[in-house]
Amino acid sequence: MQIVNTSPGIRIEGLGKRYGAVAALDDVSLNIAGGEFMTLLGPSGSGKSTLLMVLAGFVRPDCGEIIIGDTPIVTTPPHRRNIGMVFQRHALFPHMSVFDNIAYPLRLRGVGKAEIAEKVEHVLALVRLEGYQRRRVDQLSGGQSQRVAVARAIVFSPQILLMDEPLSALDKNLREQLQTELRALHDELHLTTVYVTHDQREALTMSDRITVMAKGRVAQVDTAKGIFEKPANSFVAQFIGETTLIPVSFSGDGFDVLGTHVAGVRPSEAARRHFLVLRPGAVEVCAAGETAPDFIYFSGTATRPIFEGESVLHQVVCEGGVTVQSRGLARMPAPPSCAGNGAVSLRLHRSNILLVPEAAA
Amino acid sequence: MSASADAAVALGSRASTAGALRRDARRERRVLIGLSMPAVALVLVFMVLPVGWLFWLSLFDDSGAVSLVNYVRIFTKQTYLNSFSVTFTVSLTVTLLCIGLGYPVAYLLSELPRRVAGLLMAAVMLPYWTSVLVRTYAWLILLQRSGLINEWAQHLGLISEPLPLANNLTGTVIGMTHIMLPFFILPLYAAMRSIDRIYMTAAASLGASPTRAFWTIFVPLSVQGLAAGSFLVFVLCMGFYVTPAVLGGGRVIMMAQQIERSITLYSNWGAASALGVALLAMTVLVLAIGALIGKLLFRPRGGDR
Amino acid sequence: MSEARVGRGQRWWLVIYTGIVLFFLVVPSIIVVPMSFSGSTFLEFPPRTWSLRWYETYVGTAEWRAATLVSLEIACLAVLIAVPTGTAAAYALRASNSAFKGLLAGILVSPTLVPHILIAVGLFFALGPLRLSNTLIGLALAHGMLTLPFVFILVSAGLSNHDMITELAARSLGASRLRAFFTITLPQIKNFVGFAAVIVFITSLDEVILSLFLATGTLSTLTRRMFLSLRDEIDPTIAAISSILIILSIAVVCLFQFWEQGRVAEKHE
Repeated sequence: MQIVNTSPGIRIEGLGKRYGAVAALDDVSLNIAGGEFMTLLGPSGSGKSTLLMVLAGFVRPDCGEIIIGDTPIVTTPPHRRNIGMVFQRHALFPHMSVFDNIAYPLRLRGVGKAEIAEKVEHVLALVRLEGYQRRRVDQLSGGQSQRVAVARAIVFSPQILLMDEPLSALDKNLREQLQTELRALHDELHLTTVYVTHDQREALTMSDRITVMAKGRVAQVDTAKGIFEKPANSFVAQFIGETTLIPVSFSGDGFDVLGTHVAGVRPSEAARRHFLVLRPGAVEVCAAGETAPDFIYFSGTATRPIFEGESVLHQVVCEGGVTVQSRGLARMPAPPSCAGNGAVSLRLHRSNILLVPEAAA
Repeated sequence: MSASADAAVALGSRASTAGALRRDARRERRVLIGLSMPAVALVLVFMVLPVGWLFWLSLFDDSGAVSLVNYVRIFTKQTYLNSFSVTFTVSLTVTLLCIGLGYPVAYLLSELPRRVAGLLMAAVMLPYWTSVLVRTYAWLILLQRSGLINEWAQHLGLISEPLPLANNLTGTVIGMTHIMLPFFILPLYAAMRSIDRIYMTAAASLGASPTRAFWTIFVPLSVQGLAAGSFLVFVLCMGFYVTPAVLGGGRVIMMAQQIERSITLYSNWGAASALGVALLAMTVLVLAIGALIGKLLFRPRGGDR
Repeated sequence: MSEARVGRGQRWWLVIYTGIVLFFLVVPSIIVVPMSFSGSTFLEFPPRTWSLRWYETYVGTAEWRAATLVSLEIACLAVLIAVPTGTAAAYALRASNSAFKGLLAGILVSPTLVPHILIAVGLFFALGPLRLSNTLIGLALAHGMLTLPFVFILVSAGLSNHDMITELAARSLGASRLRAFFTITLPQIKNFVGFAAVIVFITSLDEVILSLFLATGTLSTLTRRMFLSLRDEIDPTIAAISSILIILSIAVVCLFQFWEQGRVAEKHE
């Protein structure tokens, strides 16, 4: 028995919402494909939760339109939008059993008793809680509660599914387990899902595409890989992964950074300030004075490396007092000068050179 | 259709949704405020209007002309002035008694484990659940000349003649203290519960004896709750009617009784309404002073639970 | 108490003192009960002879019976008036973002600050033009107004953030605001609403001043008759009535506690 047939896409156009002088949403436009798992990622205050609430209908925007499939819904009240929603805290009805919680939306729609029982059983199986119908809400653990919440949100075959940081109240191991389960559920149902989180690892591992938001505006929309490898500006670059941003200055045929001149690379817009994106995984520690083609080198002084179990983190102080981090696998040998505050070089492959413009204020 | 025409249509429809959204927001606001209207109407019609009418009435003299003669009268004639001073005296006495009796009790309760404290608080609140009239009557029986207390005291040989404990100021004060104590202890207890005991522990680690820590740390932290309870009791005392009427025996005329007498005995609506306004004004004044003191005493403190 | 915050000796003083104060609070409240069974016209404790004569007098006198009925009717009406309006107002102000929220809340709480004598006197004349003076419904409305702040404050406190989120969940699942309120929010604040109803009932039953002014003659409430009778002569029948009122109040509160504990217990099954 199928829960969902084909889930529609969502078109968001020009949404705006102000609270007093603060713009929670500032001309936000976004296209979400049918069946896509789209994550809204950003720090608190970025507008991601507001956007979700507007999609759900609980926050009324000042202007803009939302079109699900072919239907504009921005003026439709929330209970008629046929959207499933999972909240941060499970929001299960405490005075009802698991069965009654999940049956609630079906009863509202006048579904027959036999069909209700069948559907409840089906979704409980989907979230791997078979047989939990008779349990009371206060008997469930945190993870179980959220699973029931998901079951309740999908049982009535909604058009789209919204999730507002559903895993943030759970502990780390449980979170990772549920991330996998939610993604698997999505793959099975192909329900258009909009997922809000501030945890970039969650966003990277679960999503088809990610929308990075800041200060009520969309900073970048792309796949996880795209955002990681080609961040649109310094804000996005800083938000994803462990990043050090080093300002560069342009000269001649290339740019200067950390005392090194790199030739042959030019930015797209010379007018704005640009940064070199350095990620610990892309930078390697090597012996001072080493040179090889296709690499650029920075010289610096090594400090005591940090043992991380599987990996070792080197922190090298370069020109101008800037500390650059480099992570290497523990089993690979590092140059001897690393051990004792000696001079070392950091090398970066030319293909890993990534320049990003400064984000607008 | 060209791109610019698309954009134009989009802009146009966006403008209309903005209007629809505004209308929806307005409607929702109205429905919600509308839900609270029956309650607000009830209060306005049954309290604000009558009291306002009273205020209005106080501004007219017997002949129907606007004048302040009523106010002049109540602030000059002895009977009215007496009622002011009696009201103030009784309220102050009762408040001080409540503090003396209630503070230690609230403190002990706030130190006990919650279950035990809850049980004892139920005992404190027990009087609250029984009617004021019933309790006042009980005190009458206890305090009168042939009442229980005098009987037992004489029986035990403590006194040779019955003490005048009822139908006078003493009886009134005793009765009112009994009525007001729960009102005093409850907020004070709540305030004391929320004082984090870690401060006392810290004081002890710094060398303060338990007594010293109590007086220098705990008491100042509890002052806000104490002030709140005290002002509450004082204000309630000012407007009280039943207990002074029954236990006062006609010798204790507080403002509330003065108002009643003005109407039922003398049909003096002018005086009654002026007194009423004066009482209300004093109530508001005391509350305002209480709020001000509360603000002045406010200090940011951490540790609630 | 693990730490010796208060010295040992002082502790005992404190305990004894508290005991005395509690004695002072509790005993006068309930001592009337045994005294009401006293056989003689002079109430004594302990009663030398036990008798039900004062209870019989109470039940046997038509005026007392009528007054009791009036009081009960008004109390029930007051509950029907105060609880729905107060709950609706508490919900509305919780859910709304209006700038007037504070003002309206202030108005709703104001009856607690105004001395009842003023309200009684004011209503004495104000109800005339409304054709509500000396009527059952007039006094019921007045009692409803007096107890409204308690309902409002209690239900407002009961409407936690959790309740509001579950209401959002219900609306996301397809329930309109109204339906969500009745099927989801209200069941969760049942305790508070119930407690508020109890407070309204008991407060209305015990209320004296407004009844004194607004319910005269045949409409006299129980408390009014008792009060007038106290001022004239000490009628021991009042002891019997007082005992009934005391036991009723305590019984209602205990019942409510048991009901609440019962609900907590069944949740853990």
